[in-house]
Amino acid sequence: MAKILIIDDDVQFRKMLSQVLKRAGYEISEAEDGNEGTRIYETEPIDLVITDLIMPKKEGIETISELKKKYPDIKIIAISGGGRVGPESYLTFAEKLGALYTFSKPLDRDKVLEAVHELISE
Amino acid sequence: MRPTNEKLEQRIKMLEQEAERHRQSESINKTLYAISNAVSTTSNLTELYKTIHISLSHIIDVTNFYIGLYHEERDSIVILFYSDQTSDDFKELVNISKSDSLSLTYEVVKTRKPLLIQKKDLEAWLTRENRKPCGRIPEIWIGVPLKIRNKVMGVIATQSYTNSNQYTQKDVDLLVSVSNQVALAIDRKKYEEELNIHRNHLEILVNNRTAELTELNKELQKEIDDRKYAEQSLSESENRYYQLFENELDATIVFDAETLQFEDVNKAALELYGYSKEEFINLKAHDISTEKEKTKTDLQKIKDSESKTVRVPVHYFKKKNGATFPGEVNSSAFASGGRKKIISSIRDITKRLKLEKELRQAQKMEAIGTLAGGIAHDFNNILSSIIGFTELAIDDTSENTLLQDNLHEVMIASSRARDLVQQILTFSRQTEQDQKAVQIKIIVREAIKLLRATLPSTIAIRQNIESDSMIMADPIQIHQVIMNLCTNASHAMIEKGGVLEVNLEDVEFDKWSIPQKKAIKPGKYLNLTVSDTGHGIPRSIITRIFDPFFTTKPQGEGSGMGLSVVHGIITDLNGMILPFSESGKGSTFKIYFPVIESEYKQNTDDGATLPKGTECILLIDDEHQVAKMGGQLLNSLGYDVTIKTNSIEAFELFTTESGNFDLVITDLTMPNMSGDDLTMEIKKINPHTPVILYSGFSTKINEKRIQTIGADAFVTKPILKKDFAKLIREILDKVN
Repeated sequence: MAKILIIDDDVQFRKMLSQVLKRAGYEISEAEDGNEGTRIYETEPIDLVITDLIMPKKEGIETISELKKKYPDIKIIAISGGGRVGPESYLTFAEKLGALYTFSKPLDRDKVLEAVHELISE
Repeated sequence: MRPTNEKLEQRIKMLEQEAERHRQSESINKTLYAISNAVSTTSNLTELYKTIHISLSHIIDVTNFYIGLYHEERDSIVILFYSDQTSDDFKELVNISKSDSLSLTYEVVKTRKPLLIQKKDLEAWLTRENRKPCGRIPEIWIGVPLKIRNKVMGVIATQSYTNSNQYTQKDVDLLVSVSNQVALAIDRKKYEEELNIHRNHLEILVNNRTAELTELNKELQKEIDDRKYAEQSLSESENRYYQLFENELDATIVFDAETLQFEDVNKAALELYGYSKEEFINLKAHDISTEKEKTKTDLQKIKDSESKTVRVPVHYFKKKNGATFPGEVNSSAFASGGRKKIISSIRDITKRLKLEKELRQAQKMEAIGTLAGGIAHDFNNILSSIIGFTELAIDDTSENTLLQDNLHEVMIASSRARDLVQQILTFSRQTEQDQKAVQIKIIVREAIKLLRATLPSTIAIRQNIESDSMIMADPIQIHQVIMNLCTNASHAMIEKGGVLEVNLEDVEFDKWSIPQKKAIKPGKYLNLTVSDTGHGIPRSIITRIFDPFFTTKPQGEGSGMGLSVVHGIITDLNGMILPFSESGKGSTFKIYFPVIESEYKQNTDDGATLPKGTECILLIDDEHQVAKMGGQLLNSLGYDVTIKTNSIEAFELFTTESGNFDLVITDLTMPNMSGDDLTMEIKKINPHTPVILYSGFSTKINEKRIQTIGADAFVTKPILKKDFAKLIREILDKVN
């Protein structure tokens, strides 16, 4: 069973996305920031990382950048509720750093699931 | 009968006596003349005394002689001249009337009579009265008073120290006979001398006075010069003041502090208030104010301030034509012609207040933007959970239950919240747009295409899109402007239906025809007009429609962000939006975007340097005009172009004639079969035929998706001719 790591500081959001992905048949690991996320990625067999961008301690852009450098084949989906300059700016940045798909919060569940299936099945 | 000898002798003697008297009389006459003449021939009293002495010596022995003058006020006798055998000094005899000594001179003055006295008689006198003599006792002494105007002025005296018979009564008579002349001569000379002294004194006085006068004259002249200079300075100063007053840019008025009657106004005041000078000076201060009570209070403050300037930040005034305006007033009181006056300068601050209001509005918008951007992130996270959990809950509920219906309502509400956050985010990042040259007509057509699908059939759309002009803008934002305006228009007609009209045309404004001089500059503009025939906007709220969160829609149906986002975008592009509306008569929004002299247009004339080709290209775009324009562009580059405006037809054509096309260029957003589906179908038929996908401004497509569908390139409109020519050539060369 493919395993997906969700990195997000919003507990409720993590819980919701976990349920959505578990129902779609995936195994889930959760982390509340980039540090914890990196640690889990390095200790567990993770097939796909879904990470938020704006988080305390270690935020998403830095996490993507580090993971991508260490593991060039890593599959990452970036999600964001946006910030002062709106979601696109951060998400565009994430995309340039190597996120394969980007989604603005609130998520379109079908599109997210479609992207996850596509990336896991590759 | 002959006289006898005795008689003859008597006769001779008489004749001799007669002759002697005659000689004596003649001598006296000569002396008198000499003395009289001396008055005019001598230069001073001393000389006169000497002359008198000499003249008298011809008729009498004056070996020991003196002239003493009596000073009644000083009670003294001053010996003015003397000739004496002794060496005694003749001093002034003071306090003569009370002296213990016997002065013969004073005795003559006192008695006013001549005196002849011998030594023995004098000594008997002294003994009798027990007094001492003044000076040495002579053998004989004669003294005669000198009278003038019946007053004794002095004494002439002669004496002998040796011969007691030196003088007789005859000598006394002789001296008495000349004494009047002597007195007169001395008096005259004295008078003449006094006169001289006076004259000299007067002369000195006159000289001094003249000198003083000359000095005074000089001072006076200096004062006159100073006054002239002061007058000239005053005149220059007055002139300068008048020039300053007259040419002062602020309206300046002078009026009486008590009567408030205007007395002088400058040109700026005439222009500002619209009165002539004659009309103005017939008015009073409160006649040009709309706040009469405030005028009184303000004027009292000015009067109490002495000469300090009093500033009134805002006071409302009225002009001759009745128009009112806010003015900033600076006033001060001063005295002139014995009365208190007030000078006030008034500056029309209408523009400043408006700018301040605009600035406050801009700051408010910026603050809202910052705040909105800040909260949007958290809000999106919350919405994510709400939507996500609701979807999960829906999954777990049975179809057609009340629970599922309710959960769908939660979804609808969440979706509205998501849209609102999206609007707020757009609003908050107005300044961070990605501007490029945009041909608006393409965006307008695409937007209308999207709208048409969603509008009910009761709303008709008319469009008149004429202009090819380009502007500098973020295509996404322009799309949003059009969508927001058209959505508002359709909402206004949703109940009764109507016509939505969208026009696009070029306009040019000079400084006279410009609709709002302050908002935009003269020049070429692209005018986008969106009109509807809906319920219109009431006059009372038309000034507030661009305020963020202002909405007329029922609670929960509108965010109030739409028009403020539109306004913000247009203002950022140095454009202008003007609303025209009346209740029940529909609304029209006229938008003016500044046109750029586009590179696109310039480059179309520069075809010679662009990479060209002769290959066959299939071009698909459902927008007829865009397709036609693209065809012309490709033709100008030398290519053989087949145009299709229906994607299904295009697919069918390619299915049968795939070998005839070296390249397919297709729009992404098309009805029936979209550009990405068409691309995949084409690749299925002939994977080697290169496909270029292009889209409007708004459609975002992931690179991964492009790879998945197999497109060789993806470009967004507007496409510059030189870039397009280069891209086509590159792709064709790669395949070949």
